[in-house]
Amino acid sequence: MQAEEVMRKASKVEVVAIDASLRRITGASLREVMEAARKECVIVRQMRRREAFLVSRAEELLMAELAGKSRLYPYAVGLYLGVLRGSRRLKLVPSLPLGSILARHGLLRKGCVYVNERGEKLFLYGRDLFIGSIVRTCGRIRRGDLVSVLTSRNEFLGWGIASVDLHNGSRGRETVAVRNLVDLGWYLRRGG
Amino acid sequence: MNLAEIRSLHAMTSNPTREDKLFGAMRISQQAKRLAERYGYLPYMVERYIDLFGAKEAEEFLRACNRPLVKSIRCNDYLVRCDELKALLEGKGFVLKEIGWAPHGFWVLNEPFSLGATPEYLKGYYYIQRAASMLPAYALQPKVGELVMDMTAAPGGKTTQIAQLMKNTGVVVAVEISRSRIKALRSHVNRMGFTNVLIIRADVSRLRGFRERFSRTLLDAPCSGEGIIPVDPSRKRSRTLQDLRVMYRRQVELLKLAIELTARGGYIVYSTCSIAPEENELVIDTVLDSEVGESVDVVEAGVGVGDSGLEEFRGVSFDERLRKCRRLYPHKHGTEGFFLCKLRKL
Repeated sequence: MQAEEVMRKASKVEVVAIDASLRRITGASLREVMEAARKECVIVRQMRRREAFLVSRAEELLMAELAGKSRLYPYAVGLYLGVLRGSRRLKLVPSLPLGSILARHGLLRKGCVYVNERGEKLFLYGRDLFIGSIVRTCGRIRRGDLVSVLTSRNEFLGWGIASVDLHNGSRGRETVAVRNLVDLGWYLRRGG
Repeated sequence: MNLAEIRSLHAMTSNPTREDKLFGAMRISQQAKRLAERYGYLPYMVERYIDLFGAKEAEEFLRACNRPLVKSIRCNDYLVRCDELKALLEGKGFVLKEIGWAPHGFWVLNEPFSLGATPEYLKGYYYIQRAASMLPAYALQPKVGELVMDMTAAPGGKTTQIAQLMKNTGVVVAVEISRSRIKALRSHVNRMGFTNVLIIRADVSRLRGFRERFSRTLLDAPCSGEGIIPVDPSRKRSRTLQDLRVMYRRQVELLKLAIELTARGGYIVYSTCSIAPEENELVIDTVLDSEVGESVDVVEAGVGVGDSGLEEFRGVSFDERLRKCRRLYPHKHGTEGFFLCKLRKL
């Protein structure tokens, strides 16, 4: 692999795919996320996975200098957006830091599930969420949708997949409502 | 004493250099041998502690190293107010007490369950950090918008503290050579919500082309760990004087590089979790005595805790400016053994 391929500016196709994924999952645009994070550019680190980052102008210049003078490429930089998956239909699998920053800036406008304290604890242990743990939702959530899981204090806990249509409130409290995809407990279990 | 030791001693006495004096063969007193046996140390270590503190205080130090350290955390005020964090954790049965000299630090006096398993930890509201290890970032005093480097960054306690003090602005370049440790560094940066960190996995010497770029540089140097014996008792017997010599040479090399990379008018903080003068005052003194040393001065660390740096150890005199460096000890300050020194690039 050429060194230049290790860390590079995102292509137009990648930027469009990231924007579309963000709008679909959270209701926020890439532009809004960039403003919230005070970043100006999307960078892709292509190793075994294709990881996307948002970087500031200062970080971008520094990266160019590092690559030029020392042939060094960052391991990680700025805001880690997530992994780009797929070839024909490229999409972003959002990261934990992205979820946290979206929650802090009130940019999670749809697909969010607010949980009670018991639900928070279980979710952070890597467990799925029952209907009974959900306090409220925002937006229309259908089975199979990617959702963000938050506490009632609007603290981001992780990402999940809706197992049922959540706008339909007629199910039993013990029904699994959200399958845990990744939660903040990952930092403890896998983060190193 | 074997033949090699006799030769080494002879060479030292006929024409001893400072290195020979500190790393050469050492006469071990009966008192040091007795204490070493009682507390399970290598005798040369205790001999040095007697030189450092005197016999009575050396034993106090050895006793303190047998007691566990009080745990401590650093509140991440970028994400949560520190009084709010205290209330949240105390609501769960933890007992916290502010560390007077660390603005974001708390002693953890009661820990009903693991500090690393609370939702507040996972949300990035605090970092589990030994108290003295909080000092280098405070001494560095990074400012909003600056370009700062952490030369040996993993696992990320000091990197995230610098990012926090910079209010998540500017850029912190965090360099780490270890493939396994860099994962933890990235994880802590993400967990604590910082987006102003650029992590590089490389030998820091590859940054030589970046002359005089960084406003501030932190070198928390790789060391023997002679200050963290209360945490890792295996270090009572795991390092010889020759291991210290290898460390010393690497530390001198890294400190010279840190000075090279720092902009004029900028600051360098050198720290270790070791109380060994060979890894601390001797390193700074050697660098001050070199060509690079002409471009720096020692300044007050301004951390409000710790003893002064040494001016003399085992017959070797150090630059008197080293009094401005700081030393912390378990028996005096209740922390791990620690050393830090702040330099200003002229």
